[in-house]
Amino acid sequence: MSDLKLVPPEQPTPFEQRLLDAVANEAPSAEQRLRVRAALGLPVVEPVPVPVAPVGRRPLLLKAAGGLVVVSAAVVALFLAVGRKQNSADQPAPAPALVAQAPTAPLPAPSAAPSIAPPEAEPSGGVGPLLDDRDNGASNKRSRKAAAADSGADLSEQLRLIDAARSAVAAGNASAASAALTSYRKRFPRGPFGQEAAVLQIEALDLQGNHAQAAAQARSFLARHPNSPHVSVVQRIAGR
Amino acid sequence: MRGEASKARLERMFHEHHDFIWRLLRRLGLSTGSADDAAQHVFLVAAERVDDIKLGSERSFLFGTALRVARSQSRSDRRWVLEEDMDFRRSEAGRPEELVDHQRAIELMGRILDGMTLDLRTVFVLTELEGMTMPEVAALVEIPVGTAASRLRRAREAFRATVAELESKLKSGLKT
Repeated sequence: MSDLKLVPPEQPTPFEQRLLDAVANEAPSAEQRLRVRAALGLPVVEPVPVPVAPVGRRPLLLKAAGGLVVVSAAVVALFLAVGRKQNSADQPAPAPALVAQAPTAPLPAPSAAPSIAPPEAEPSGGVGPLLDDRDNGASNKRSRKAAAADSGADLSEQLRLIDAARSAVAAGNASAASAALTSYRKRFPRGPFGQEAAVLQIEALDLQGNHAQAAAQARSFLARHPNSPHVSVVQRIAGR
Repeated sequence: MRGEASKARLERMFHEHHDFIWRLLRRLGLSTGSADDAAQHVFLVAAERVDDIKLGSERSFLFGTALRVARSQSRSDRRWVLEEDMDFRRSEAGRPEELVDHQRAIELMGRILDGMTLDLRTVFVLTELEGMTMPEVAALVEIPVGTAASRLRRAREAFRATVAELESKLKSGLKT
């Protein structure tokens, strides 16, 4: 390959490989996917488990290391996984990054109408991959469980409440918007549309004439979400 | 209202590229929460302009938008200072690669990547973490292949130098 001639691959040290593997396995959470789909007006499907390391091909650095390192690591990982099978439920596998790095199948063919898959149980250890939103630690584990619990009919209900609030704000009906948002927060405190709900609440407060409170909440929102797609709306209110 | 064809195209773009864009944003230095927001922003921009995006250029469009979003991120939000608050002595004896747990490895990589310029970082991420070939990277970043190769060489040098420095600190921490 011409690019390999231009920049010959180099064999990483074990420490370099450890660092590369750690970030290679990152992926967005199921909640994040849902949130973007909802924002785009795409059908909101139930949360599905995060696919294992959808990172395309292996890094060139690793290619240079040849198959030996990979095969050895896989054998060791398999060995360890089998050895720890009994008590693996609460303990991460010792070398999961390399296991998760194994060449992955390509993404399934896209379709205009994605199939709805039932939520699956949490990985139960063994050779289960280190799922990437791990860098949020326990809170993400909780939110994954919460998302699974909130799935199905709940998602439709969440969307219904958010849409109701949005329509009420658009119609200038602040009290109806607040009622829908209060219901949303009560029923889905960790729902994936929390950011949308917060923005709508700020708009509802502003509609009610409670500009000071709306501006204070808007500033707080901007501090927490400086790159939110809702920034322009919230900034307008924060500046009042 | 968006037509069915546009909606189907947006669905395909989401399916094929959302995770790539999110990973890219993370590796360009955004926190998990900011990457979530930024990825949504990128796709909202794409949704607004879906009918203007040339067929076959979807990935390129999303990539360019994501780069702009990452650049606009305030430096204070994403700057890591290498070694700051890192405790190199808290681990027990062992080789450096065994001392760094998953979370810490992600933090270290974030700091190492933050030490690179955006140009070097982008090429390094696309090549070493996304596994793209040099011509693919050159096409996506819209630079000559030779430039991409040069950036990759420099990025690798920077990566290796920083990792070696960290490794040395980890080892010296063990001796004390």
